[in-house]
Amino acid sequence: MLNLNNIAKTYQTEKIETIALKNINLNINRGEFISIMGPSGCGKSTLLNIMGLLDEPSDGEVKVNGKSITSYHDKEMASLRNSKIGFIFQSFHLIQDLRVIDNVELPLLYRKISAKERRRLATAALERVGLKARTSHFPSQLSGGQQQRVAIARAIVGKPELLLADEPTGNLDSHMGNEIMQILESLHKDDKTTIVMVTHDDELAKRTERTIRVYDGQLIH
Amino acid sequence: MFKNYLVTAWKVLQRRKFFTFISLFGITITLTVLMILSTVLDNFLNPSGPSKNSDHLLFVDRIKVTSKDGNSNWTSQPGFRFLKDNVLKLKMPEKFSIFTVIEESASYLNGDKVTNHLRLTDSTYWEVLDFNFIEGHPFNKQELESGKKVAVINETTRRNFFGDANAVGKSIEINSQKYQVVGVVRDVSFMEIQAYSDIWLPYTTSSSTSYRSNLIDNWNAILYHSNSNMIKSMQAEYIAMLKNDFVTPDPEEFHKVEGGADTLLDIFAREFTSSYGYDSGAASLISILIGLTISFMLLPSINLINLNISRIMERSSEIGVRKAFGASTTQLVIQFVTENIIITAIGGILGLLLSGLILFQIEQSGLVPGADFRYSWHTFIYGSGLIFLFGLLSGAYPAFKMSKLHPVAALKGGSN
Repeated sequence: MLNLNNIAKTYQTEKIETIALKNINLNINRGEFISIMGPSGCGKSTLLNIMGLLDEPSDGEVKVNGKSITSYHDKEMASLRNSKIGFIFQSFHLIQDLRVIDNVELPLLYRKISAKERRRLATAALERVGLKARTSHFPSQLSGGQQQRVAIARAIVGKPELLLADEPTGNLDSHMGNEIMQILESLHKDDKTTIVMVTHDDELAKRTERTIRVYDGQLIH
Repeated sequence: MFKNYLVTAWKVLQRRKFFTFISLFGITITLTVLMILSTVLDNFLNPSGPSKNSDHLLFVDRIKVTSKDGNSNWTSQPGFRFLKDNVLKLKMPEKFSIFTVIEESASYLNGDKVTNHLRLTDSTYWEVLDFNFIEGHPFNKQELESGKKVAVINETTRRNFFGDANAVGKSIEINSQKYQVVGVVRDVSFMEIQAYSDIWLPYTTSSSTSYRSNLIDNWNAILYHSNSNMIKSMQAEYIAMLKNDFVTPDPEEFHKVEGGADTLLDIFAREFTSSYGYDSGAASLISILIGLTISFMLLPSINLINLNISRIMERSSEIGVRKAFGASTTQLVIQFVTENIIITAIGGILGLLLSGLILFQIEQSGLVPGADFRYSWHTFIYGSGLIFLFGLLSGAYPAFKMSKLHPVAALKGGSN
């Protein structure tokens, strides 16, 4: 469902050119659960951002469902992210001013869906992560694990084909981390969601179907 | 969607209470000042009392006289002679009225001296201006011509002299002369400079006749036409008369007269821009007022822009998340501008309330006698327009800057 062909990413400052990624060729198939591993600063997150259409490659081509997105403008990219991709971040990135239910509804605000339907879908997503009782809480009233579950509910509320998780357990203790992993596994198994997860944890990587290793901006096979 | 913006805007307001206070204070004070000034101006330009049909009226309020050698000139109210010889011969106006500006008169009430405002008028004065008589009637042409000592007084003067009783038929002593009251009118706002007074007398009752020979003095004229579209032609006729047919008894001293038959806007513009020639300066006045309004609004707008930009960092995670989950740049701009308009609207409503309160206090204080400073729909629309413009001005740039943040940078904390 996602193809990266000859992807390179360089950051240009006044004098120095930093190569973050080079020569990346990667196919993500529908229904896969993939982990990305590598040392800090090797380009894992950059790779995930390019997969999530949050960042543009300096070179190469990204194809979503066989279609190149090179010529897409801001509005088309936004709409593609909205309909196909869900994000889970290491630091949750919940909007502190909004209640749990409103945070979960956020992706649906950018779709033509009635308020009532948005509420129904958000409640269902929270039920899926076991937080139905917390809809009216604010993020600050929840534990880290609970906040990450809210973030997962937000990522899955729009039923995306691809879920991208950037060290989703990185800020959690092993017990909470395990809970999050179990939710991801069940999403993969029961809902056939395609998941790409960046992690530092070998044990978690072992629980995925395929592990991609990145070193110095390149894939190691 | 809108509810979501509303909630966020409210939360953002609560987050930094001191800065919110500063923003709201700036907006409120600016709008209060602008609303008070515009209400007072609106009160002058769109009167609701006797001069309410001002779009049918022109006023000869000022003339600028130059001597033949060009060495001396005067700007003054016109005199009776000038009006009689020149203005009253105009062809276009359907009605004319001549009258003096207000002066103070002395009366004695139970042994105490009482000062009132007094105006000498003709009888058409009561036809071209629409007074509200609560008792009696105006003096007529016959009474004017025969110099009969009759008076029209306002409600306050009646109360002072006669208490709650009727005044018509009773006599009142003004400047040591007895006058018979023929009519009582409702109080007129001081803002209606041609209509306001406490007492109105036929000009023929003046103790001296020396006024009849003066070219410049303290007189005014009103020109009336039932068709308001004729106003422009009447103004042109007046200027043509000044340029070509001006009659002067003293061609050396009073060689040239400039000025105009003015609308209320022209009168205000002349005073404001000191334009006493053929052009009243109304166009410059409008540009000056627009310029002043904008520069006055600029300061709190810049303050708000700064404040909004400093909030980018605080909200960069939110921007990143919204972008990641599908918000386009346009949607984010709309969100931030809407939020800003909501904040501005709160300041605006406070400004409207505060200016309403201050105007009410001014009205009650009697500082401007008979003033009626209620908001008219003009000022209300003007005020709401200002609020909207304010919100847009101070919201658009920060919104654009915020929405342009790269999602990855925004999620990291908005470093570029």
